[in-house]
Amino acid sequence: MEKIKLRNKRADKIVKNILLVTAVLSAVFIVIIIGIVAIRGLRPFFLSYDGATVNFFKFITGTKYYAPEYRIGYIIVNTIYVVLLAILLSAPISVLTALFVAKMAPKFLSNFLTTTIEVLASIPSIIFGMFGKGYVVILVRNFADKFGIVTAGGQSTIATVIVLAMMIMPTITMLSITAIKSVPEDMEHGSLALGASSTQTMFSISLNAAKPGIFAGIILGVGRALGEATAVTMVAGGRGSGPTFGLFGTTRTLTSTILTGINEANLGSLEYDIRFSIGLVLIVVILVVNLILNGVKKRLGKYYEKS
Amino acid sequence: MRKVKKRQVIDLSLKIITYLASFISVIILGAILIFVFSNGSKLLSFKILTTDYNSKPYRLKTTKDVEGLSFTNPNITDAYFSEDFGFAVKDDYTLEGTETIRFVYIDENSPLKTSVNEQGDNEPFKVDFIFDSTMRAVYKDGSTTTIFSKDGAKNVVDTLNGAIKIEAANVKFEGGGIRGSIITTLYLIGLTLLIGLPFGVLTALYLHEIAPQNKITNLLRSFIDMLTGIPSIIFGLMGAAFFIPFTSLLFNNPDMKRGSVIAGALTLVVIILPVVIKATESALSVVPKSYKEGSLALGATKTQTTFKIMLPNALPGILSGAILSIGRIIGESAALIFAMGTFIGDNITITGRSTSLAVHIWSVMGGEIPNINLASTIAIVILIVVLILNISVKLITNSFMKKYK
Amino acid sequence: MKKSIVSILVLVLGFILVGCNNNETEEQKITVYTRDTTSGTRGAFFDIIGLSELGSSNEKLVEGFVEAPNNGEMMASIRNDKNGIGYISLSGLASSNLKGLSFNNVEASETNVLSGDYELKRPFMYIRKAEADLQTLIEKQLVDAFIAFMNSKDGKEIIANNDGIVEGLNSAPTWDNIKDDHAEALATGAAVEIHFGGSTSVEKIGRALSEAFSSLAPRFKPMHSHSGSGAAYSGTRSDGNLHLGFASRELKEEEKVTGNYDRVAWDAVVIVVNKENELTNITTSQIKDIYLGELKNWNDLNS
Repeated sequence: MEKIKLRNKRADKIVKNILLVTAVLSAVFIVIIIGIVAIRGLRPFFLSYDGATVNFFKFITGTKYYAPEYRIGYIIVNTIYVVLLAILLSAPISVLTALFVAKMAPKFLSNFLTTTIEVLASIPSIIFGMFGKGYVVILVRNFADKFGIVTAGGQSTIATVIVLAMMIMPTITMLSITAIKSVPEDMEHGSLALGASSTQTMFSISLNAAKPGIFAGIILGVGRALGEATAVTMVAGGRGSGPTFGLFGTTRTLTSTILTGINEANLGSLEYDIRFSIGLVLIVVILVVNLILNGVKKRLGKYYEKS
Repeated sequence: MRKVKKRQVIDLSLKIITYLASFISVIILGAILIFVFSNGSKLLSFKILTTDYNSKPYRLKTTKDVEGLSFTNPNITDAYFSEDFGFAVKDDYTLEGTETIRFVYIDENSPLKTSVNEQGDNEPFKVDFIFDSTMRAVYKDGSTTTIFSKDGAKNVVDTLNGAIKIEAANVKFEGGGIRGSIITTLYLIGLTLLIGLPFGVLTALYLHEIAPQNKITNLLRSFIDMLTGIPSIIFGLMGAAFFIPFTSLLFNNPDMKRGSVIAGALTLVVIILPVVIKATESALSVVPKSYKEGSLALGATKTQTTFKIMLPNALPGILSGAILSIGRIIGESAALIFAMGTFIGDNITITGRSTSLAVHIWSVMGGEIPNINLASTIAIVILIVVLILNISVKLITNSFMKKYK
Repeated sequence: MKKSIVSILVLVLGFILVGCNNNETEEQKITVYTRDTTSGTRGAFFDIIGLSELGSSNEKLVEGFVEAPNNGEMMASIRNDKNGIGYISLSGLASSNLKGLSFNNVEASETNVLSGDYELKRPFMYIRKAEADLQTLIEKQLVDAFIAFMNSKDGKEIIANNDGIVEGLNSAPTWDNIKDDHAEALATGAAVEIHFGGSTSVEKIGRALSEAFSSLAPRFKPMHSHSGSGAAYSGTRSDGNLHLGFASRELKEEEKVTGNYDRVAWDAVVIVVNKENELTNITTSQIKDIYLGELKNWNDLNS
């Protein structure tokens, strides 16, 4: 008996340690990722490639990105601008759809829409990109032609915004549905009892109470939009200079810059390593945006706790 | 009363706006599906799923002189028939939309059926061969004339009028199939799950069953959670900077410096890790505590309890995690572009370079002439598979929930 | 909360309006297309018209220019833009569905190029990686054999079939006559990847040649990755990954390493506009003014 107990204890310990190792390894990956991107990405600023070192300040600000100058200032502005517009376009539609599904629609319609949204959420981004390049871009081009606006074949800011909006809509919708559904029924019953119409209740009460959850959905959408690479590259146009605010001008984002021209860059060259620097900037941008948005969300939550 | 009317108008307009907004998602999904299926169904066939992507070029010459032979014209529309050699060609387009000349008929007694290649092996001309290069017509007196494909199909037949043999015919069997990419995707799924599932499940077991609930465990958990917020292109950068050199050294193969299937699989492992861990952990938390307590009470060790009681009961959850991962693997593009490269291969090996289906779409859409039809065909394949996977996950989760009610 | 949303909306609207105003909506404004700075076509084009500084820098280019990364994109963009003007390789004109303009009243044709009357003539060159930088003997043998094939009658015919302008077609030896010199390269064995790259203008010719050559040499496995003539030199350095790079312009002095470069064929740059454009000819001073931004409207050209 004692021997078995001892053997079991040892076996337990070994297994426990193996599992501990795998868990630690899994957790370590995030460190590796950030570490590598940081190390490789900081190289262009400190080492010299055939005599060229990139000045960090010039890199961050500045409005031109074509060799030998690598200035991504305008790209950062473009990225944020494009994502902002995508949110402005998709958030209202998503929230209204969520309200419809959660409160207004009869059961079969509700299920149908939920399935539609789930299918949209599972479509890989490359297919959105293909749809964008083969259809949205052409729509934009035809639309612009009618008004005499010049476009580079349709690849433009507006096309990028539309594609991004399509991609993040399911995310925001699904989380909003959950948020709206979890509003306590007492609040709604109270409102109805006080004489408000059901529509009024839905908009003023349910929607407002679900704000933190909806906002969480928006934050997730923003994260996805900031990080989207292949779809954006196919519709943005790859512009070499200046922030683009006009809807029909070509643009580029941080992710599309990392992706473009990857086949030609020689391993270990400045061309190649600068992408890591851009990746580093991307991570920082995502972090900062998330922090800001989460801060806003907390204040929203506090506001509702008080009342 | 006015106030009530105003309220009713506002309510009605709000309702209408909401109805309209909701149908936007349906319109979008419809547009995407129509686009993909209408553009892709033209090319969808068993053939395209099983042929190579790269064309197979040949340089052939006939071995039989044609003196005295004559063939009957099958009268194919738009095709030009060579009476001396017994074949018909027409001006056509390649799968990519470029102009070419296509062989549409070859008589069984034609000398084209007994041609040989440069190495001397038998290699007959086949129907569907395309000709977009040069070939030489040889005449009885030994003189030759070069035939250029850019001069058109009729010119081919006319120049061969009176010739006795063909040499240096640069023809090719058109590629454009996606067999290689399908196999690569399967390899990726297999390798990634092989490495990633055990990793993720063991980690989840540790976190859920064995780890003390203290700050360190929470730290581990948050580190793993952070992985979900990272965009896939960053994973791609990591794959290129870490896994490519790692695998290149491991297999001692410098050709792998530009990417390989195994490097792609390892990158995917990191991407799906949080998915598997989360799925396993939620499956474990649904298993009633009584199972665990009962097992321990009966004298089983923690290890035995974990592996013989908790794990099997969490299997459906692990399965959904695996299926979700497969969906993610099939759809992943940015990370693989960096870790595996964009060269479309036909002979797939673990240490070789090829593309997954998603990266194949990227490759054909990125060239000088984007091939929307082929891309849509691949998209159809991807969409169907992803749809089936999603339905499976739903079914599994439903039956799982029922089991514990 | 509402206030901040409204203020964000107003701000964004402001940006869009400002941006849209900068988007010229005038019907007749010329959209200037150019290749990126690694393009040989660009280099050759600006060199010949007398604006060499524009070859490698976008400083003086007219504002609002659109950059196309390769010939195909340039063609596609101008196909869709009635107001567009750009430049492509003559070898691509036939299949481009665009209108090629005569330059200083000389039409862009093979005869005019060979005679020298058409001024926008430029060579297709190749640069090969130095022998000392190659890893294996078989790579050297295959590249040698490929170059021999390129210079043979069969090779030149293929170049001509792809609209390259070749010289000495009839005096070149046929492949059958010279293939015995390269017996080792043509033997069977394990596949060897040979990487090609460089100019996108030469890509069609390069791929046609390597496709034909692969049926002659079983071990030859060509891999093409064309990004611009600039890569012809940088990619064939000792640390580069190309065995053979193509360039669509004269090589610069520093790029000419003895014995490692030669001409493949002649070609010309053609200035192209959309088929609906009524223009048929353009002069040197007109095209210079367009690219420098001193000529901005199509109306101004018809003077």
